[in-house]
Amino acid sequence: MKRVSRRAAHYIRDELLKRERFIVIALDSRQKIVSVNRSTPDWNLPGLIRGSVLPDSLASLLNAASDAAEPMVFPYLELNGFFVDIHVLGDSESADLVIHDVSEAHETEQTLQQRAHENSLLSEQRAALNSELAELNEELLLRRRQAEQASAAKSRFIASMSHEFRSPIASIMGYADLLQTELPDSDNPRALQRASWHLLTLVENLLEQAREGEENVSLNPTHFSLDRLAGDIEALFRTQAAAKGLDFEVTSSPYGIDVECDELRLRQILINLVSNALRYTRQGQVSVHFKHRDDTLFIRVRDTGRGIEPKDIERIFEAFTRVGEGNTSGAGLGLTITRQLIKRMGGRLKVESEPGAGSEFRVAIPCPCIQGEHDEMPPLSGTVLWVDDDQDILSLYQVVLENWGLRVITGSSITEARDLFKIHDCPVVVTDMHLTDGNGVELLSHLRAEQPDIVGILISGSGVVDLAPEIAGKGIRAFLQKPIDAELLYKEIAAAFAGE
Amino acid sequence: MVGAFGVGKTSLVRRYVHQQFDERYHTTLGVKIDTRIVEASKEPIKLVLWDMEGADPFEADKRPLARIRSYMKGAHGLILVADGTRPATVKAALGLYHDFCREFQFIPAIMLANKADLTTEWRFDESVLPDAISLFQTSALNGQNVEEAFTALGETLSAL
Repeated sequence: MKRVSRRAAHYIRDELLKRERFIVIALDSRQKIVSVNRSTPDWNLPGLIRGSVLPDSLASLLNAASDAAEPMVFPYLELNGFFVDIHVLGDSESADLVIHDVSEAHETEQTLQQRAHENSLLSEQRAALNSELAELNEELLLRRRQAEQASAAKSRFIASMSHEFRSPIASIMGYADLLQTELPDSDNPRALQRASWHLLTLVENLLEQAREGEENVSLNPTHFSLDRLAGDIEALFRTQAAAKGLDFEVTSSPYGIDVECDELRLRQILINLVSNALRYTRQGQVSVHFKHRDDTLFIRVRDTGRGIEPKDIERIFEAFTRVGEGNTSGAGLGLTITRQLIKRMGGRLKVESEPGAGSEFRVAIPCPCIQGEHDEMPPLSGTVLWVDDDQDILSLYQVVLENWGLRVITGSSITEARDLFKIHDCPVVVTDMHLTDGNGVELLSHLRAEQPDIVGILISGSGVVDLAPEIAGKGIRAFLQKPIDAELLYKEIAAAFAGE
Repeated sequence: MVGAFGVGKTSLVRRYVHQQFDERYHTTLGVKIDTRIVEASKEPIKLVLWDMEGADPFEADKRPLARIRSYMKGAHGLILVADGTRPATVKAALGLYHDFCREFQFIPAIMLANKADLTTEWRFDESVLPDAISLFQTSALNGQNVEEAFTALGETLSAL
């Protein structure tokens, strides 16, 4: 503001003094109060008395202002419940303190600042939480990736173990088939086959437990005789039942039908249920009854064993659990796996039991009836390239296919197979999925590049992964699992040569 | 006592002078003065504590900094206060310290890394402190190291 008249200056001062509250203190060189003047008589601060020494709080301000060339202002100082601005004028010899009550302005600004700071702190907390959330998400993703990797490793392990076990068992079963052909009057080859099925079932039980929760386990439906299955079950457990002095009966109705179902899984279910019934029955009877009606196979396994307490019914399906005292035989996996398999096959399982009287397990599995499709196997002609890294399998199926009238070229690797394919005209190629230098799908892709109209049949012992998406559109006619159902193999090869 | 807002300066004074703690956050605008006698080994010393409003030299709003400047000129010692769970407040406290030393003079200073009770959120990096500044990890909530920190500064000032 430029220079104003004395009248105007007086007016401004008078107006200011009407609206604002001031205390003016004059001090001497020893910081003793010489005079106290108040703009408003009813406003005073304790300790500000003429002749007394300045209180500590205000004295310390004088030190801060001691060398200042110009008046110094100390804003928003809390003094006895008021907020004041303190103006220090003068020097160490004589000073004036002008105390201006700014409590009202302070309160307004303090309220605004409080809100601003609270908002700012909330924003910081939110940012910190977001950052923490991001870190947690990152960790979650990492763990998910680890879990996926672990799951993939587990699947690879199961596939590998399944292949390792199935291949030699398939070889034994195939040779037993051959022996049966050569010795039609002997029961020995059939016993060998039954034992192989049993061994395969035990292995599959363990693998089934390992693959629990996996969705992509494929079923391998084949055609088989229900009578033969019932006969095998009877023969397999006959000795064991007799050793315990139990009556053992296997019946089926109607007679003479073929069904379509995953035979290996069905045998697993039966072996698990029957061996369980025999294990827990000390006297009396164990009976198995098959009934086929409306494309459903009903199986009833009944025993006169000690039965199951109602509270234990659900527990018997828990893995590694044996209900009742003194039960130590078996791995405790049979019923767990049986229920898993039945569920996977789209079936149902019911248990009824009376403690002290016995138990009855009832299974219903979708299972179409096949009529008149399995008896005739007329001779075939043509050349088949069979590729497998298992020499026993190669030798076995060379004999089997030659018996069907086919010429068989065998190879044990992709490299060898490609060389053989250049020399021999092989319209049908049967290959194992797992080869030493790659896999069967790769081999068939190579061969189709050279001869697009070849028909491929893929064999695998892994039994885990559903390969449908992988083999789609690659000229692969069928995907068969070890042990190979000879009748099914015959049909696929015959259809391949017939151009079906 | 200087530092960013919300680090607990007023709570530390309240704990040290009145042995009290209030959970509610009440921001300081301007300056509050409190006093307490420190029984220093040489002789008792009266600490006149200027609890200043939160200021951060790296913030765009320079008004708090302007308000506390006149008070800082008269200080004999500096209590830098930071929130051990908010690294930005350590930077703010050290910024205030360097500003002070550049503009006025070198005076004794200590750093209180407050809220030490929040152990799971603790993110204080001691390596950023200059050697001249002693560190105290404090909690106004449970009183951890509060007495020790003020006494240490009192001893230093008493020895000058």
